[in-house]
Amino acid sequence: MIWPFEQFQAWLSKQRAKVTEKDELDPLPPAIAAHIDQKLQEASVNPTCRHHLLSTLEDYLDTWQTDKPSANSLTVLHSPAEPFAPLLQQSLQSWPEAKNYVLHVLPLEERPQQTSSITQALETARSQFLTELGLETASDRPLIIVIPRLDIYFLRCIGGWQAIEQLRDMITADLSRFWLIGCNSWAWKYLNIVCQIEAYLEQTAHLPRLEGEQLQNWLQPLLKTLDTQVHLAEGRSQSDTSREEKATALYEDLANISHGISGVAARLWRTSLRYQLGSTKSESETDPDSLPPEATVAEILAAGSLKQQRARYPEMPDLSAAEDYLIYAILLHGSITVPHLALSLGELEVQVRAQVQKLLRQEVLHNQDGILTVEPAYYPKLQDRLRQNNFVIGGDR
Amino acid sequence: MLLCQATLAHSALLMQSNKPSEFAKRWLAEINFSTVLSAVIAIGIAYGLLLAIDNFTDWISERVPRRFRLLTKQGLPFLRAFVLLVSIVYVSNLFLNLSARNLFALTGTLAVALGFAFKDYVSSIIAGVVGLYEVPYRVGDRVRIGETYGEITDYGLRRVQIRTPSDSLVSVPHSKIWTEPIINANSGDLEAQVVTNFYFSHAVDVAQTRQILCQTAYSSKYTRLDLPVVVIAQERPWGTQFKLKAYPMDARDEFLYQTDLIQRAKQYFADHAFEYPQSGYLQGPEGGAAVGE
Repeated sequence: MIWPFEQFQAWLSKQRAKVTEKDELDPLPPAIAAHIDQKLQEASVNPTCRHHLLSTLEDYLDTWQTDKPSANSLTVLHSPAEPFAPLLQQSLQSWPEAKNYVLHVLPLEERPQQTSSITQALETARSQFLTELGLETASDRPLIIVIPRLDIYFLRCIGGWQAIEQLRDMITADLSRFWLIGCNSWAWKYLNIVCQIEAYLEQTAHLPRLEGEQLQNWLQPLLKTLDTQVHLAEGRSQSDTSREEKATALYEDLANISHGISGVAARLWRTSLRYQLGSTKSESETDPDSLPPEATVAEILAAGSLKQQRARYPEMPDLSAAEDYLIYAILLHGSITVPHLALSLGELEVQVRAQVQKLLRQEVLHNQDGILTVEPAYYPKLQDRLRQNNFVIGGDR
Repeated sequence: MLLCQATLAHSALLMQSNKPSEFAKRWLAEINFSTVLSAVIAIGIAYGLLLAIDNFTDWISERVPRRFRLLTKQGLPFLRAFVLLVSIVYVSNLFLNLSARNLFALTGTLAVALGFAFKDYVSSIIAGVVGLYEVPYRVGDRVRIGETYGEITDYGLRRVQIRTPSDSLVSVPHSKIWTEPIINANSGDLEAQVVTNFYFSHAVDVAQTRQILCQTAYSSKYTRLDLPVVVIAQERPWGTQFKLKAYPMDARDEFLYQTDLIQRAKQYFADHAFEYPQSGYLQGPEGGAAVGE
């Protein structure tokens, strides 16, 4: 008789073996990884999101110009893991109706460096754009003021949302201008609690939750640029036998685990791509070291093959309560520098920097030119974790 | 009562009589190596189980999401009581003839003996059992019993252990629930309101100060944002007192939370030259530090 415990151990070993077998596939060689990353960068804006954004904007502009001039703003809410600023920029650049409006983008792209004078710096930025606006009011075309990221106008500290209150009052004071605002949903929820922003800017829209088919139409063409057949992993159902069925199942899985957020889906899709040496040549020729470092994409693909596995979350490192507070602060602000993060957490910069270093090593955070963001692939799990721990977080839809 | 006394008297007579075998035959079960071994094993298992329950509850409660932590810990006293009860009944049954009559007599005897010798001890145990049902406090609650304030970290058979703000562990017997008021800040919930006092001179702008204190709470990383933040002002002979009432996400962070609020607020007040009461006036129960409680 086999004891249940032994049965459980056997099952566990089997599952572990399966995982190990999967992990034996190599990560993408640098040349292919660079190629795919470049293609992903070029196609970073999801067409479904772009179309949804523009059609929503046109609907609200119609309402503003005809029925209800008091509703002179549209705030598009998105996940903190969504790269919204490029989406907005590219969408407006490709907008056919843009010629009928004067578009003015507020100049502030990041929070000012001097934490002690953040509100003064915001006030300066506001004065600058008021001056610029004063020059453009003579135009006959309606004016749309664009704020790509409302979340950089505040910092969680005493007086840190003073600029938001100023903007809020400006928007409601002059109904002849339309405001298009992007804001991450966590910051929006926070601002709604601390300064009731939704009472003033009541028109909000969310980015759509992407379906498997939409992700497939967006991401699959990027692989075609490699000019090779990508092997697809088996779907959950054994009945998915054809290549199309396997691909559909893979992208539906991707849509599910990424919560339909394009930024998360792109990262998870990227990590689901693996390289397998030797599938086309004899075993003697499958030594990874046999590939010269300067091998081209074509040579690498000739020596092996690409495989698209089922997307899955990266393994989450153990996080302490202090790290939860830190990650929440970054997600709340969308992106943030270490000095601002220290101010927001109420801790010494040296302590915060040490915590940040650890999370950067664990690849939970990214640091680009001193600005910290959370790795999008961890976002769904972090969102669940923080919600379970009583943090107030925004809904992505 | 009369029946009890009669039974006790009868037992005493049996003991005094020259028939010890008759007494033993009535009260004691057959004791042999196997019985003793069973008892030792039972005690060992019970001890092991108690240790395992304690450690597992501690381990799991620190790993589950914060909102389930107290729920996990609150089952501990019941599990302990269950293991103890089963073990005591099992071991007693090994050595004693627990017939209804004997049980009745034994209870009476024990009541009299314990009533004189271990009155306070037994009172605490009974209070502990009553406490399981009345629930004046649970593991994880923040309570004030007499002069002791802190988080209940352990609920034992006879006493609770309270971790104070100075990180000392204080054992308080359960019998305090008969005589002392029990002030429970969170009653099994994760949230406990934290009140932080701030003191200013009479000349302070009350509206502005209230606004700043609200912002202080909303900007703290510890604040539970979906629960209310309230600021109350009171006039005192020496100045104006403000009470900032807010909830941390985890009641365990109460003192860190207060520190964070005070640090943020004091920095702002120092930068903007808010006027504190003159120190000469800060005497008596409301006095002390210029800011904070």
